[in-house]
Amino acid sequence: MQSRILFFGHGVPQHDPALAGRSVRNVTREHHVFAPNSRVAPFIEPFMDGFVRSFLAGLENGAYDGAAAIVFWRQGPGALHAYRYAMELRRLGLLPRGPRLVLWNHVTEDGAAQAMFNARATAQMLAALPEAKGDTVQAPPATPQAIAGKGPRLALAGEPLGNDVVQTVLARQGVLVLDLQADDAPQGDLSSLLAQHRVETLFWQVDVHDDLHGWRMPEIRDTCARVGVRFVDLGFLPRWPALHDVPQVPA
Amino acid sequence: MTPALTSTAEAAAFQRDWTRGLRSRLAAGEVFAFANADTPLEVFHALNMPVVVNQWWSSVIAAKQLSTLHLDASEAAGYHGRLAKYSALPLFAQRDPRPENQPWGGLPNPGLLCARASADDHPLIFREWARLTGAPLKILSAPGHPDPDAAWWDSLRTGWENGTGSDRLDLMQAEIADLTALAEQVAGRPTPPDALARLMANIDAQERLFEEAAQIIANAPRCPVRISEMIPNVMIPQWHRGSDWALAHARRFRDEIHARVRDGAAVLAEEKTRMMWIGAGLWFDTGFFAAFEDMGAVFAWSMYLPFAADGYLRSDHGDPMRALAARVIDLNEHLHQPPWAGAWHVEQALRNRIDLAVIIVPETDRPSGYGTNFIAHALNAAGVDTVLVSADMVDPRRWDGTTARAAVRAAIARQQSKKAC
Repeated sequence: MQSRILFFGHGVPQHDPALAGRSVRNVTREHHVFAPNSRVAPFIEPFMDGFVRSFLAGLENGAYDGAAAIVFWRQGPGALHAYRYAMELRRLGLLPRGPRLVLWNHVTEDGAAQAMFNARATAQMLAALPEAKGDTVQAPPATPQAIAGKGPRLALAGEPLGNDVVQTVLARQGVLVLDLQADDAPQGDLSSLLAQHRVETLFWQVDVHDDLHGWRMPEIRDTCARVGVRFVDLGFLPRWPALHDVPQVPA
Repeated sequence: MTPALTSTAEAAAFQRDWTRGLRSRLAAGEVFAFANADTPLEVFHALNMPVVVNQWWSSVIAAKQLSTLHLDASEAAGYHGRLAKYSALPLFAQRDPRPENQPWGGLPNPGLLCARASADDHPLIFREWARLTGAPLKILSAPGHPDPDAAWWDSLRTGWENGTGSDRLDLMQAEIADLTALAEQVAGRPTPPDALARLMANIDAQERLFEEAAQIIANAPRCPVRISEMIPNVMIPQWHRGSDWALAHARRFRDEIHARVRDGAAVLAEEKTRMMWIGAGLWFDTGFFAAFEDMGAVFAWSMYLPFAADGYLRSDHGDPMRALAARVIDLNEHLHQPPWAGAWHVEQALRNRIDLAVIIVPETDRPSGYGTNFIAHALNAAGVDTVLVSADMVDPRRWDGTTARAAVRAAIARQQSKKAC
């Protein structure tokens, strides 16, 4: 059965109690490509965020047609652009009518005004959704999980990945005990997480068009050096890498 | 060849002297704020706290041909080469302690940092600034408009409450109040009573003068002034908006443009093609803007002058801080995001009788690069030809000026051939 409510945006709190009883699915990391005769592809800049590009291809391909609404999590990197492009492509008549498009605003700064804004924004998002009647609650799809193995204790960080190929490669070299790019990654101070999971080597990677995660790299590299964790930069990787995309760097 | 405006030299001299004077103010114990262009600079102006604008300082570094040095160094330090340059170049330059590698000897560490989360990377860039300098940081939230009206430029001048949404305005107003409190704490003094209201009134007057200047230029039979002169004459006052100097300078500029048109002066004796430059400036190669005049083609438009009115005029309705919130809430978004950007550029193209639009596409400054295909589509649909030029505003390292000039020349030739038929 199709999920009625789809979410786009890394980090979307799809298990928020406000959504209890809803049939939801996070489509952020799903992979779609534009058809050769796509009318949308010419509007997508070549440096577009890979997940936004994939989402818009899925939207044009009809991958989400069975859903009642697609909710865009504003705080997800690129998610506002996904929403803007989807709305504009519909306005231009380049996308057929389909699921209702809903922007879920949320701000991260602390304070009473911010808390009030977030409460109102969530209420508006819920009000924009169709009735929950008849929804079948589904388990969220599996996100790339840490894969067990033997050897050094490893961490993976950087930009979210769309598949688990990097994890598979790392599992050949050790045990991936901390996957910081996963949707369910533990939160908190990096040095504490590294100590808590007794990480020996941290692997870093981003997309070739990354403009966000790279800002954290010097600090993460320096933190690793300070706490005695080896830092390995895998360089630029596609978001849905194949085995041959991942450099063989000993852990 | 028209002589340079007197206003242009005056604006440049003012800003140079202001920056030099800033150094002595700081030596005397003052602190300055360092802020992104789309933040409420009015908070600092009302407090009489010096503020340096990130993107302006970035453009100065690039214009002085210092960006390659600092960008190369940033990559050696671990910031990969695809990260934004325009909004980050001052951060990279600040890491270099040698005064000879900085415009006018450089700036000390700021006393306060402020950015708006209008681009996903801006909070990260400014958090890195704060990490490296220890300066207090205020990030202003940027929730998205859920249902934007394409034709925003007139309605938002007075009808901003409905046009932007009360929930978002409540939040922005509260965050501006927080920023004000932080700035007062850092400066060690309160904002004088009514200072913001007086400033907003002056800004309103200033932007109306710029609107008149933009309309005089649009109506003139031939473009009377190059965009390389329009830009400093509007943007230096914009960085000091609401000050007595800025208001007076806007008036001098408007009057000088008016006199020039009255006297029949023009950039080109025979103007065959009117062009618009879409996006921020190509700061390391400003000669590009005059490179096509031998073909009778002139850049008659850049966003900076008309946006002074359309982006900034917001009636205060008796509540200057809320009007300020309405000004900044989608300030940069209007220039780049659909449906706002396409509709506005079409309106401006038609008003200025533009034949050809040249659009800068900065692929390593993605929030500025996104939406450019929609802008081109809207212009093409309105009968305006377009050329997309891949370039970064401040990074000359991968700039292929020869190819870019050839692409524009070819488009001009096509357009002139079409006109002749």
